[in-house]
Amino acid sequence: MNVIEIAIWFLKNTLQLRRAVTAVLLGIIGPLFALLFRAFGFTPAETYDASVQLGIFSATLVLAAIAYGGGIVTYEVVGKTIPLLLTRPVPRWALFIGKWLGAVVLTAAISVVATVLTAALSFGSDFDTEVLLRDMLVLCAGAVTYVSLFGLLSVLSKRPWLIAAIFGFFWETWVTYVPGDFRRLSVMTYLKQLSPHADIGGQENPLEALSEAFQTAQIDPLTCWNTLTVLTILSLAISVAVFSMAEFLPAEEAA
Amino acid sequence: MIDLQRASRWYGQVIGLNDVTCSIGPGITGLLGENGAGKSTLIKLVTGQLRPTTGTVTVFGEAPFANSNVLRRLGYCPEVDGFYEHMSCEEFLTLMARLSGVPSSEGAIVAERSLHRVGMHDSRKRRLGACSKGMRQRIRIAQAIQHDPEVLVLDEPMNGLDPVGRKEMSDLLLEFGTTRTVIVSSHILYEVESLTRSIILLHRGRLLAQGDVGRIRDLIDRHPHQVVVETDGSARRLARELVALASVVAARIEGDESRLIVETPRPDEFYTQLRDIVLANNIPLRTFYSQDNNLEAVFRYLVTG
Repeated sequence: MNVIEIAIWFLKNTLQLRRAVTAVLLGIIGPLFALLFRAFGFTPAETYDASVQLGIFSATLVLAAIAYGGGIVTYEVVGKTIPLLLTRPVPRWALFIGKWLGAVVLTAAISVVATVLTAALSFGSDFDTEVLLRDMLVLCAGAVTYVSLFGLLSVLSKRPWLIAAIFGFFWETWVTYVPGDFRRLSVMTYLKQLSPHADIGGQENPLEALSEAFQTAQIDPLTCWNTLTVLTILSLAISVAVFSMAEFLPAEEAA
Repeated sequence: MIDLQRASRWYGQVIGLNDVTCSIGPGITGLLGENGAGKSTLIKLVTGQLRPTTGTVTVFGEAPFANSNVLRRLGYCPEVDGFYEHMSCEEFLTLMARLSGVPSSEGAIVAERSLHRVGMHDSRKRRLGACSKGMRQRIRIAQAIQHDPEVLVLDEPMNGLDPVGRKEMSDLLLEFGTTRTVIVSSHILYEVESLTRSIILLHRGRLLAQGDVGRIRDLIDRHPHQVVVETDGSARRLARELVALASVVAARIEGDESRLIVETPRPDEFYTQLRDIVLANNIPLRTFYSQDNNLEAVFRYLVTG
């Protein structure tokens, strides 16, 4: 069984009826924000910017990556199916990469579909294709990076979902407000630099304004792409190495 | 074929397997011991899920841990009840066949064949989450044998099976064991004895004895085997019939009239007679199982000398 087959199996497994609900729920966060902002009378551009920023980058993308990336190994350990996989002649690296690929595709697909829906609800058919394509590309990059990071957590930790949630919703938000260049330790900083969106009503968050006063210049796009690439490669390499060498037992036996 | 040299395995401060040296060749070998004796640890070492802390474990001359060359020739039936619950039996076995290296064009055929072998063909479309405990055990066995491995390792394979299922799976394993190496773990001597005379006896992580089951059987006969029989309120009537048997040394009714505990030094003979009596007297039997105290007694005997 090769990597692609494993990825397809992961997708089928994850999109079976009951679990597909999770994917749908994750995908409607952005569009729901768009409906809400439109109802409150925001302009189409404001609606799109705010919905994509709050609903998709900060919620859908991160949540999907936590759920699917964090579950690459943990799901098998908790579900006690790990012995069925690790006693097969499939190389462990192929198992990990196959499942990682499936998680990336799923996270990216949910985020991209949510973005298209959000754009449609914000602008109707009159949206800026260039911005939409840029957002979709950056979301895919975000999916690759976050799934790799959370996949690493699933290999290293017994509670990857908790750690990933703390990282995704606490660290990623608050580190951007810390004066200086701490924001460079946040994946979201690079994603936002690559895909900038105006704040709601053009008003900058006072905390953000304060921290920006102490920050160095903007991070250039090349640095952003390089950082995301290095993070992804490093996370993947460590994950594959650890998964190939470490012992994994079903949850109740490992306890 | 399978070789352990002074193999030990620690889980932090707890020892799972302690300085075990043994070789396992073709045919069926029973791995016998109480819960916590180290059977599952030994099995996990052989199937490459764990590495020994000290000593060596080799299968086909190679260390099995994450070794595709070894795992390709090995089938494993785990004790833990983990499945992809939403999959049908057929889908699951096809997936497992593919993961075992069966080509994609043959995956479904191999799955279908193994469903037949374990008597699950009629339930092939049933979701695993909707299968009974016995059905799930049959599927676990099917996924272990379907790619025709040279070495088959089964951890408590009779768990959850009814008497008919046990008989069918025993026959299947006996057939498999004629040409291949099979390791079957159990904490019930009678169960292992129906499959093989070659056993490895573990106790608290140590190898207590290896060889012919006759030696253990002799010890067993000195310690009557306890069998719990549950009926629908007919325990007294059944007890009256059973105490007349030469294979029964004692019988007592526990609690209400539905639970009977029988002591027998010859369980194989007793089980046959129990079946005959139940059928002849039309006694409604809910379940029967070994309490396994006898094995504990044998371990005590062997440990204390």
